[in-house]
Amino acid sequence: MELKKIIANILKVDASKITRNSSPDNLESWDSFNGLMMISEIEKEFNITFTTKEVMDIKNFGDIEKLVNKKIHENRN
Amino acid sequence: MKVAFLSNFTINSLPDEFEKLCRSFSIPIETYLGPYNQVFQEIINESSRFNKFKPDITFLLADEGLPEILDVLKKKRIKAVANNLLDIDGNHKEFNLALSKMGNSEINIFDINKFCLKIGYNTLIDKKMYYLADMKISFYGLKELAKEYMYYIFKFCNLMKKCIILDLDNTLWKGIVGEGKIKINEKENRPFLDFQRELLSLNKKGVLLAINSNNNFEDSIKVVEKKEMILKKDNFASIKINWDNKVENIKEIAKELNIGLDSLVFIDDSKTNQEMARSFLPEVYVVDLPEDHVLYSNCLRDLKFFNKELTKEDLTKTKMYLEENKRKEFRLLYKDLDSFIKGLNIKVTFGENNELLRIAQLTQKTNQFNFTTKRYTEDDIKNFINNGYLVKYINVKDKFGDYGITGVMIIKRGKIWEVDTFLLSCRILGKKIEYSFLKEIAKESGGKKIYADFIKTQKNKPAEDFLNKVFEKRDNRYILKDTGDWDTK
Repeated sequence: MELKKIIANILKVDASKITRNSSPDNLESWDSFNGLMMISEIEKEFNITFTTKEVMDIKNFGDIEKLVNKKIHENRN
Repeated sequence: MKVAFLSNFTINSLPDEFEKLCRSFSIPIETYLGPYNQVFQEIINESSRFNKFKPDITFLLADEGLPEILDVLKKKRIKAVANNLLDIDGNHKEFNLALSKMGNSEINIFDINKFCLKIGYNTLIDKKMYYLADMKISFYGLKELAKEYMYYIFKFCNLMKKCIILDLDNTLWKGIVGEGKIKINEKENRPFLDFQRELLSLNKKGVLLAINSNNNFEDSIKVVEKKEMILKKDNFASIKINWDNKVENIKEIAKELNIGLDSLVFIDDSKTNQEMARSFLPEVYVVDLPEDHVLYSNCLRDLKFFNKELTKEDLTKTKMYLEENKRKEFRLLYKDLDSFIKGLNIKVTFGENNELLRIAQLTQKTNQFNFTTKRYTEDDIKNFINNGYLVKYINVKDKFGDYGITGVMIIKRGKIWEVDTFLLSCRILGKKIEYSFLKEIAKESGGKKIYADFIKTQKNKPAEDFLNKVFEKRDNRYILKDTGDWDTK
């Protein structure tokens, strides 16, 4: 599944609403619990693992995108 | 159905997972999740949202203060399921043992250690989520836990299944009888034998098994009788091997075993047969068997609507049904019902104020011959006894076997006697045992007036018929006629 769709599903919003700048500040349903649920779903879906520090450093959707791409790239090598 | 969750760690995704599952079984449900780490406050504060919600059942995920919490729950008579402590390093063995003894018919102790054994410690706990959000169980763990918890919902809603109806070819063994030799011992049959073992273990817990197969009876029964089979012919309470429609066979089996279609589970590898049963018998639970037969036993183990608690009667249930078949053959030899009953040499013995688990179970399960269909827990029965009620039961035997405890009366004794509950298991109906039971009570009352309540349901016609024969209606109540005036036909 596409990254945006996973997140939209958990936050119960339309996938088109999610941009790089989407964050807990501008998306009401993005609370700390849903944030972690996203992480857990993403890890499962893409078969990657984030470190605790990486999770804590996430500020917005752009950060997640970057992180996922980096991890997938690492996995390929 | 109202379900509450209380926890002293984060379990926010559990209510959602649970609702999804209940919906898939068409069980209407409303959930409440208590605020983080306020278990005790929620329970003792009368005006808490938890107490206002008035849950039918409460799932408690606490890893501290458990005995104290359970004590309060017990006093308030709140039905609850509590997890024991995860004992990965063996430090909580004694605690868990003590905890397991705190359980009763209202407080259930869920063994999370056994559950952990199934899904694995590293999947049950995601350390990152634990430290980031105080989630002591991972998202995946909560999802799996919801599935396990369904058992309590089925039990509470009286949706437990009583009988599994099984196809034979490619369901109980590999291959099709008549299209080649069936070799039970061969390697390719190993998954099927494991499946049979799983079925046998359910059978030992009182779940009935039956066969529904389209083939020649003589050919298939030979395979059932092979000594390598784990399930023996006697494990099956009913066997239908014929060329009739399988839907009709299922109906026949239900009739023969005297249980409702909604207590049946049907397992058949053919998608067509599954679909047919689903559309013609929507009350029957048709298992969506996995494509790959090595997964059959896992699939069966994941079904949570089978009995886990045992009474003596559960253990010998199949035997009793087989005895019943012999009785039916015997009945054909007699010209009328009365001489048949006489020939059975029925022995009814009476007992009172003990066997509480079995009595509670009978109030939970009996639908047809039941005057009031009031469902009671073991504790309820205990309370009746403590409050001076007479809790009388009967034990029935005949020349073919022992039916065990199969009838109960709960009576308030005073200047008049008032019957709160009068029930007989359907297994002993049609033998006029209800008359002997009532006669004994009339004798014991010493000539006092005996009143009974009656609550009509969709299922209790047999009780109503009897009521009209021996009770008469007076001012909206039913009063027992003199034994001489009973209609015993």
